[in-house]
Amino acid sequence: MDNDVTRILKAIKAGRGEATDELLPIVYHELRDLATKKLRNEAAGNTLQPTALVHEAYLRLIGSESDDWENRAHFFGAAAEAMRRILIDHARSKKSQKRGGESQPVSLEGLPEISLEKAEELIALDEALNELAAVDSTKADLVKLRFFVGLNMEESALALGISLRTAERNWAYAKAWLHRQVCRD
Amino acid sequence: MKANEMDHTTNQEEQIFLAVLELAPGTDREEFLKSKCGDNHELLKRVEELLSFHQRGDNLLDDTSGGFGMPTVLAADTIAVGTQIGPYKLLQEIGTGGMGVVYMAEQFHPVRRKVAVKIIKWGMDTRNVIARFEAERQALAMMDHPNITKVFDAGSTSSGRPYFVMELVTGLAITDYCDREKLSLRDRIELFYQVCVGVKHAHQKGIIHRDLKPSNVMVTHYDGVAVPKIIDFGIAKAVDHSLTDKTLFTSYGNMIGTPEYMSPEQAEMSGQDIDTRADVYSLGVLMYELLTGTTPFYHWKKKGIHKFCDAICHEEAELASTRINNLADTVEEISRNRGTDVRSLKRSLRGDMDWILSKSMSKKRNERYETAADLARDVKRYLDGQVIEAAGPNLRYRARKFFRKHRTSISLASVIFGTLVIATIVSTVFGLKAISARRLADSRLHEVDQLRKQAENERDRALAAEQKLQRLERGSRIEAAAARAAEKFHRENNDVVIHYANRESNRNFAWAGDSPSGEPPVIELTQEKIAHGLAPEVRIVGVQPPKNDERFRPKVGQPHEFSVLIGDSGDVTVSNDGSQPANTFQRHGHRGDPRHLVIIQDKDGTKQYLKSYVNELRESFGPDDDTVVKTLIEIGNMELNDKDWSEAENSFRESRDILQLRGKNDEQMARVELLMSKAQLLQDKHALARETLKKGVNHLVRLRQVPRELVDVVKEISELDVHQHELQELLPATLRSELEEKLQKNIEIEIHQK
Repeated sequence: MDNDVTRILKAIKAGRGEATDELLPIVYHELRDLATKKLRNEAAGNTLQPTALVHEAYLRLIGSESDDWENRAHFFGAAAEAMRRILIDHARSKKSQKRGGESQPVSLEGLPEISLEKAEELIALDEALNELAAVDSTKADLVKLRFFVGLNMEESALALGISLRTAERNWAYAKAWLHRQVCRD
Repeated sequence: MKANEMDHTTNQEEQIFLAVLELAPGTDREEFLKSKCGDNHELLKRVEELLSFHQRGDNLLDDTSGGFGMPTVLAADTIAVGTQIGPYKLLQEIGTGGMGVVYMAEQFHPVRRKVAVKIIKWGMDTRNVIARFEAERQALAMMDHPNITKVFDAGSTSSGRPYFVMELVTGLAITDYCDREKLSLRDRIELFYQVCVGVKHAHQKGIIHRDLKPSNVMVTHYDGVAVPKIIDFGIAKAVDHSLTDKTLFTSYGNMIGTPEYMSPEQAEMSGQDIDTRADVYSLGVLMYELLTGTTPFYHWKKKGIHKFCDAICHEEAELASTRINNLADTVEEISRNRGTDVRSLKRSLRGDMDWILSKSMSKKRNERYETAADLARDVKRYLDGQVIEAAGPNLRYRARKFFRKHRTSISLASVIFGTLVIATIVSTVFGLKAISARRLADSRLHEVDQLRKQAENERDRALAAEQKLQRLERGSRIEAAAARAAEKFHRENNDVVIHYANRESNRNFAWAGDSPSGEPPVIELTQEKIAHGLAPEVRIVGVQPPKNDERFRPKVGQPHEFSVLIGDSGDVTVSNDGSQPANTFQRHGHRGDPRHLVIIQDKDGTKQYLKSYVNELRESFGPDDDTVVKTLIEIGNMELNDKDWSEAENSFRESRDILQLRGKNDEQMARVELLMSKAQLLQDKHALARETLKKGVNHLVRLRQVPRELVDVVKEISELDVHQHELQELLPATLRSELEEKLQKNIEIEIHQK
């Protein structure tokens, strides 16, 4: 199977780092499409499972033959960023709705309602995450994989190419750090 | 602060923070912090701050589910069917779970057979998993029991994922099986008993399952007998908690699959060794679910995995019999699936079952049954009607059991009386022996508890009686309305009308034709009269009254009339095709059997009768009662059949107006609008029909489905040529395809029946 995504993945593997930027929009749109489709078919009130969504996107874009963890790692990296944008868009739109403004068109229709409080929390967390990324991108990536895609610790460690122990330590620190940052603002 | 300075501070802060987390228990944290930070108070403050955030429980990140508040489901990575793994060729995916994907596979060497291959998901430490499995292999090989599936082999795939090869079991998870077969409580408990016996065997061989849950207990049929098979013995131990064994970081603990069946000591992840009592706990949860349809803490699930585990460790589970009270809208279905009603379900659970479950699921493991063998023994005692161990040596309980066993000779009253007498004697004796005050208080508390339960019982009974009374009352008012309308019809037409009344009132009337006295002879139909073709002035013909009622046997070979079938709730259907009235009634979407049957010779008379019946209903129940609407729709349908289009339109409009006043009921509104549109179409009122149709479709869209009973109406409208394209246009694609599918199914069913 040779499509855009596999081509990009090959390029990334070959060391062409700029190819990573090509991956994100494809994954983002695939995830949005998938999410929209799923939300349309789901009964109201049902929720999406980010992990399942990302895995399905992977199967659709790359196929099931590929059992290559390296590919997965890059893919999940892009998916984490994409999911983060989808969810933060959603939270922002919620916030602007509550302020009486018009709903931003970027938000996915049909995503489960979140409370204003949760939306604000998410946005604050996102801002703190940006700050963390500026200081320590590995930790920020770990948080994205865990929080926005729902990967577990071992999967995240594998995706980031770090040991499980390091992942666990990073997680503990990043969690406390982000929490402090959010409360500070 | 410059960037590199900040990096440096961050780095220091992180190292000290992590070092504190890894401190050996008992180390003085303050001292340690002071020694690390020296006189850098800023640093000390920052680390302390981080530590305090670390300990807080409200971290948004703890909900690692993408902010949706759902426990993360670890998606399994599939491997293509046809792939060869060692000597096994994957044939078909048969399931996924928290640990990985299970395939049906074919083994070629050394024997050719079908097996199940479970491929563990990514990220496990393959070598350790397999080493742990090998360590237990000897013990696993010793297990040989009909309720346990064997694990044959373990290995790793070419990409390094561990896999396990097991005996292939095809069947359903025990909970699904019981619900599908609608097994009674007793059957469920008997099946569960077999599960206990299987686990008991493993416990005797020193093997603990660690992950007992419905999906690990499959029910399959051997020679027509249901046999539960426990799968995955030995696997959970190899895979599960590979982390907790080797790291200090138990607080980051990771969990595989669902924690619903996990014992508190497992959910707590304190690294405590797991023993047979963890399995006993899981068995308790399994039985709880089999009996009540829910797991003890199911309502905590949506609060996230951490809160859920917290509940397992610290919340007391509701007694199974109490849970039944709190199930709200699902309780009817759950009772039905157990072939019983809510009240008897609750009654069967109260007492022994509550005791057994509570003991199995005690938070403290030393209060549980020691092994599955002890649990199995008590379940067996329960099934045999003997005194269970869980209740302990409680005199009163034993007395109750004794009386229950000899129920035939002792009336319920004397049981209560006798128990009280024994209780009194017991406390007197205890008093004489100067038992401690605490014990006395305990027994009083128990007494109060007992009384409260009795009161609850009484209240339930009164409630049920009240409901029954209301049903009966409504049924008899409907009967009266139907009878009055029948009598009126007879008066006005001097025609024979027959009204079979509600079976519960046990009386049936016929209003017969002319009589010499001028008074309409009201004849009560007795069983005898019906059997002998009735009184001479009444000829009852060609009617098949409610099925299963011996009194109403069809008279063969005589022309049939119109029968108006009325249920206890007022549902009405008109039948004249000579088929079983009960079937007609149910085909029209009504529940149960018709309870009233009014027979009238001709069609116009029937319509006339129905109209006066509607009036009677209005009198009895008010102008906007459900029965009024339903009857009006039925009249409209008859008028449609008779090609009285405008009459039909009026009937539907009348019912629409009532429905509109009553507020939202999309299904009924959709039905009425669609029918009205059809009547309008047939009068060539196209513009009007289109408007009405649009409204009807809007209701369908809101319903998000085309109810089965409306499929035909939609079909008929779309068959009225001119407007086919309009319906196509109005119906959203999703509904249209659903409709097509249903139509196809209907056609298939018809063909099949022929």
